Amino acid sequence: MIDALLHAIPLVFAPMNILAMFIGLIAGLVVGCLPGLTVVTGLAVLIPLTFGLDPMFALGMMAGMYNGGSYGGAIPAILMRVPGTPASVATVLDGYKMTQKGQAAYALQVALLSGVIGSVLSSISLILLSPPLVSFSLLFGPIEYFWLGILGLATVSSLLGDDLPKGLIACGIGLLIGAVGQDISNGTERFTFGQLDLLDGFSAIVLLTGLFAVPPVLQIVEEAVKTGMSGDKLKLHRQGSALSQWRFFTPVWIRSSIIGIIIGILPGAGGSMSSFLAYNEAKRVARNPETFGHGNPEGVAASECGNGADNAASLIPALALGIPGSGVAAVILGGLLVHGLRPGPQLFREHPDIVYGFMLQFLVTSFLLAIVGGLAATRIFGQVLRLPRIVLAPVILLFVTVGVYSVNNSLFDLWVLLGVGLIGYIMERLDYPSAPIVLGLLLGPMVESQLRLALTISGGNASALVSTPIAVILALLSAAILLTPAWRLFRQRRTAAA
Amino acid sequence: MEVTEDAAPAAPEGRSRSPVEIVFALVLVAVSLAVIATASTYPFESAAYPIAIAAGMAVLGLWIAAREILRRLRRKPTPGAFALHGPRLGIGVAGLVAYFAAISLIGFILPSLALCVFLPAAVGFRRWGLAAVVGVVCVVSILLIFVYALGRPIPEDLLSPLLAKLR
Amino acid sequence: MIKRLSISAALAATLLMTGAARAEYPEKPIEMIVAFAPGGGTDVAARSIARYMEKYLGGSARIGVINKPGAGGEIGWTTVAQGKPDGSTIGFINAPAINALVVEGKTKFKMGDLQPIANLVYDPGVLVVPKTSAYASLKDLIDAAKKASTPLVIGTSGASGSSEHIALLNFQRLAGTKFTPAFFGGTAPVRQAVLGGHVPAATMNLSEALQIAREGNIKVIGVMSAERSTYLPDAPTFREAGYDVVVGASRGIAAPKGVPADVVAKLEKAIDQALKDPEYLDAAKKAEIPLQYLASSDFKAFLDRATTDLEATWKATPWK
Repeated sequence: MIDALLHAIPLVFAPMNILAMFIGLIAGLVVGCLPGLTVVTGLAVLIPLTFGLDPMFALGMMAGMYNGGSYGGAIPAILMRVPGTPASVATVLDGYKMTQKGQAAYALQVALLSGVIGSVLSSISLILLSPPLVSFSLLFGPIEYFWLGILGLATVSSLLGDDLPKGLIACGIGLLIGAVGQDISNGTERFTFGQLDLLDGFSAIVLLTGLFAVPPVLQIVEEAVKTGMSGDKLKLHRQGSALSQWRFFTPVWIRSSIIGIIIGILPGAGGSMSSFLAYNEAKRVARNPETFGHGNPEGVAASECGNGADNAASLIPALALGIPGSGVAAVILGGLLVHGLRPGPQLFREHPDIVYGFMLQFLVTSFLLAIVGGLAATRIFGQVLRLPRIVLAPVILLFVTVGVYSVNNSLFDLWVLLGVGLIGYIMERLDYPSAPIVLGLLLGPMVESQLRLALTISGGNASALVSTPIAVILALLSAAILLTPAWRLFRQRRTAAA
Repeated sequence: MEVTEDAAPAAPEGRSRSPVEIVFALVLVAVSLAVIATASTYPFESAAYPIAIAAGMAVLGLWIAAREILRRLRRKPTPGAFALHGPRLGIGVAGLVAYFAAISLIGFILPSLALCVFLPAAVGFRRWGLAAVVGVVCVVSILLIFVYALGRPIPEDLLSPLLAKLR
Repeated sequence: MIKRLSISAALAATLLMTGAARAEYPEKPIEMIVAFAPGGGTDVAARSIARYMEKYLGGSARIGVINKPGAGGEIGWTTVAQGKPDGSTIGFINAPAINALVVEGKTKFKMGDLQPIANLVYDPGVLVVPKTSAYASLKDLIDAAKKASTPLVIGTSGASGSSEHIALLNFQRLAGTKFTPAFFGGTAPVRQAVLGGHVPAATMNLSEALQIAREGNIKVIGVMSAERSTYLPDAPTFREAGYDVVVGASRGIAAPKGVPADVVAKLEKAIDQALKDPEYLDAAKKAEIPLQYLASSDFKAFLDRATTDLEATWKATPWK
């Protein structure tokens, strides 16, 4: 391995390949920060163009795009409350509140730094720990995935808001929306009303965008503020630097990175789950959990770090087994194939310099992201807020509309966007939290389908659900997550009563 | 005027959103019941999951509606108005609906430019030049990124043939 | 005012374009519809081949790949079938998934609404078991299934009604036993489940099993093709074991019905040349893509046979 790494270093640092990483990174930032456009789309367009180029050049672009895209998603989440990707929903919760408090630049910096730390640790684990992590990921079958989904859903306890029944209803709405579409195991069309567009269910990105982007547009119109944010509030040096507070953030970073890496290596869980779990964990152990959701920088740090740590880790099963851990990893696999690199154990034997070179590129692009994002992106994107707020409303809507349309090329999705947006507005005004809807929508289908698979395989024997050690551990963890806030509430009430 | 500090600024006094609370909760109950009715025609293994969730939602919806009615009876309805500014909310919703309808009819570019200029104007923003410049910059950058760089389509447009010539 | 001017300019431009004399095909940009999301197998295949087709269509030919995902491909395929038959709309179709949808009778199009142009890829199905499995052959599996008190579970990467599911139905009929299909809905999860030993057996496509099978991490106990695959010559076929199960996933290009014959011929030729392009061929070989070129008439015969077979199965055992 050391040999291969040493061989790979000159390849990675060849001028052309550094250029490739830069190009990929900047393209990733752009697609990541535009809602509806994802790294998957960017890569799908990019890969055929790299046909016939040197593999390291192409892989460098892919690595850059992956890392750039995951930070890019945080930018509109923080500045405009529009999550660029599902993984940045948890970033919205505190990031946008920080912007409202005039800490936009600081929030962006925390997001960037946390994302970089996460992806650096993740890249290192990709380089050093691939073999053991792979065998760990194979322990997960339908039973374990079912409990993993439950664990993810349990984090709803940290997203419920102040009104318990309303939070639960929001989660239920997400779960129900997730149930729309064709049931793959018997072809039953659930709640599709004969609409072809609904056969695959609602697209998560469309719902997410409608839910988060349309209500603030309406609110901006209602407030009709005709001035923008003053330049002062966007200057970094007035707000302290996240880097100098490393002592404060380190515990959050470590926990979130571990969570992100573990979720990353499990195929099918995905970056959104990493960020929600990391956010939940940060809130759970915090001394002041009530400040989460009201602009606590730790919330932004946890979410973005978890998301960043997911990236390289999701490539571990992809490279070592050919099983993609995420949509992006799947496309990267396609890209490797285009270059005649067949993922799997033999890839490490036949092309060790390229494999380790690719892993190094992940590490290098993480550092490049810190430079590019820190020097340019944060400064440039923040300036959008200087526009008069009322002018921002149509701007948000324009980008959201074209992004949502381009997901499926369908006008139907635009009407879904509008409908969900209006319902989202009503719910927001009635203090129904939005994040549990997203959680239910993303994880509900996983829980249902894995439960049914597990029961099919066990011949309908429900006791099989707790037949493996991992399943039991995950079940206990879920219970712990659910009970922590309840326990807190109970203690608070007792102290209040006493 | 500074940027508002909080997401939900204090509502105008004397009005309560409580009727909307009740209506929305009851709508949720109705939707849940409809879900249960629809799902009961599906095979058991497909129906169990949505029915279980919808049943829970119906109960929670009833709880919220009942709670709000009780609060009204005690003359302590949930405080806060539903809309920050009713007329402007109307303008916003109408603008959105018109925008999406226009996209279906004549494509993305013209309605988008119109939205950028007229939506702010409708609520009293008078710097036409700035609004127009922002609109043009946005549309052009969307075209550059989505259409030219990434080859993603935009909704079918009256101007598409013109764009095709420019390529 | 400005707005009205630009509308009339646009209208004028439209009129000019339609009024222009019909130049040689492809004068207009060609839209290549992909019925799956960007980044999927079909999408990557389409985007790769599109570049080479442009090269061989000559001069100013431009092909834009448009994703119309949804409903297991139905949305995209409907778009192709209902497109303008002038060669400006073509699309990737995946047999036998498309035939199965049509046979179920819910689609807005019939197979006859499509003009097959050429097939590019044929990827046979395989039945695999974990490396630690006690089943070394199809016979072991069937014997075990016949003895077992509950039907043996077989994971499939598809949904109900997918080619793999239909292959399983045929197989259990021929073998006189019963299996319980477990639908994973994607290749990645079923591959992981069989690697980790969470299911006793699974079906997938050969190209998806190739690497891990060669490494010895799973065992391929049956290939659903007429002859053994050159990529995995050690793996026996279903036919060798006495079960006539020949099922595979194919990817080909079609156009709406009524496309002029010269356009079909031109596209067909471009695809043939693209598939023979040394650069493309080299990459496809390295990636072990099971290329199988079928010209328009052969592709049509292939599709017709798939439809007839599925109609027979649907009558005997409807899969939905």
